[in-house]
Amino acid sequence: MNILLVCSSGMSTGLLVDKMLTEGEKRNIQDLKIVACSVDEIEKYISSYDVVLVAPQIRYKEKYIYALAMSKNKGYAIIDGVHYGLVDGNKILDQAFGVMRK
Amino acid sequence: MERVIQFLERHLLPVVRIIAEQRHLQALRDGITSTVPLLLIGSSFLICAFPPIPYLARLVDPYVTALLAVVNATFGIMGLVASFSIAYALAASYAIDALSSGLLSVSAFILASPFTKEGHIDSGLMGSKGLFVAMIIGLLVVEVQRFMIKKNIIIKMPEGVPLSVGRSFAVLLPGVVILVSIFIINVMLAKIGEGSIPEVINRVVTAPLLHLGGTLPAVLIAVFAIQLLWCFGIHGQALVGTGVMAPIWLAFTQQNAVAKMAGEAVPNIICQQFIDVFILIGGSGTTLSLAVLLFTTVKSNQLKALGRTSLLPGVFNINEPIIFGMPIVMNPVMIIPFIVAPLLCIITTYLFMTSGFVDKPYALAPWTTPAFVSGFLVTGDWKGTALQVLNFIISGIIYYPFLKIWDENKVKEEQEQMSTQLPQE
Repeated sequence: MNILLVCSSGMSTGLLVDKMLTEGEKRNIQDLKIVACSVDEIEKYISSYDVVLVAPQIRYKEKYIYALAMSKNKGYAIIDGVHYGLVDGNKILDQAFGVMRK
Repeated sequence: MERVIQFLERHLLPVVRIIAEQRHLQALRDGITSTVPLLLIGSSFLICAFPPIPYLARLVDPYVTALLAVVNATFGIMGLVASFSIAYALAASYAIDALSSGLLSVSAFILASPFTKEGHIDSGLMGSKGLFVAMIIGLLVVEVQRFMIKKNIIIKMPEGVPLSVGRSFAVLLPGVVILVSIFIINVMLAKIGEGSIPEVINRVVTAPLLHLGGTLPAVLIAVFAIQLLWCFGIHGQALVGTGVMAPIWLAFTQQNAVAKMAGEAVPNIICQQFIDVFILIGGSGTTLSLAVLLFTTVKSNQLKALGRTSLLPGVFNINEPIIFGMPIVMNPVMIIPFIVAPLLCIITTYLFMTSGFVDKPYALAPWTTPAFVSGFLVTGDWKGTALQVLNFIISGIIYYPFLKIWDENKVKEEQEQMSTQLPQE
């Protein structure tokens, strides 16, 4: 599964990438690709991902990202604030699988 | 307190959405931030040209002119670059051919800026003096283009003509209209003796904006807004800092660099570095001290875990873990120091710089530069670092009592959870 993490500049979601990948390894998930990008770059990247997870601090851009994700039939969620803050790769990976579209 | 928060959430968020998604503001933001990498490169050469150590200064002395050429080619053309990138960003958002809009805007910008008596481009108008001219022209150029495309007043090539050829023809008519209009305005302004387009824009827009934006109250209000937005979990710095204030703050940054280059006194206290380096130590809210306190003093398990995850990002001024993990968002206890600490740091920084005790910043450093290093880098003055340490301590003192309250809260919560879970096992 390919997961795209979106935040303001791709910095703070960058913290999450490693945590989620380690978690994926623990669970023995094959072909897990996770990339963090800034909200301005999302249109460039979105096509090659299955799920878009949005950092809570840019939920003011939700409308735009939601519409984009829906038009490309991608899974979409805003990351839970507390999980985000504690960089909880486990829970956020669950969230990603929860919204994935078949 | 909770009601206030709900009220603001309901009424503030829609306004924030509108500001964040407003096309022209977004184009200005994207266009201007695209000049920042150049300013960073220019800054490193500026630091090299004026090393803060006398021995090194003598060593680089023969190369100063060559080093400053790089500063000229970066800081010095900030306005010119912005005239391209702003039009480019706006055109891209309309799905108009962005490259031709950008080029047209550069041409319009140069035409609007009067040449020197000797017939050369006036380099003084290419930097921050031209920034607001570039903003206005960049947006107008694209709007004219869009209007003409909408009304179908363009030269269309028949099918089969290569795309790039078609493109160059599509930009012809709007280009003529824009350049001729600027030409006419130039002639008229000269006739009524009002000078040039940059002079008028400078008088009507730039001077009042910079005058207002450079005051202590303006910075306090801007940072208050940044903090308040974060309290709702919204990226205040991206919205207010980069989104609204950046043109003003960066114009001051550029003025400081130019003054330093000319060997004059650095004029502005308030500029981009003032915020990045001295106020947002550890991220919005001056939270590096909070991260250290979390790492060393708390008892609750959740906050201990947070201390471990937030310290290293905090060194690089990234603090989303704290803001969402503590959380500060919607937290009536932590919101108070989160707003008060940076505001106090603004006042101390301002006082130390107006009194001349700490040098004003002239170089720009990336916002991720670790605290205590950045203070020295941007001012070339070890007291810059001392001031950061002072702000770090002040913010720590403000955070500490509130952190204790919240920590006790969390410990209690965790104990209650333990006692309700134990009987089941």
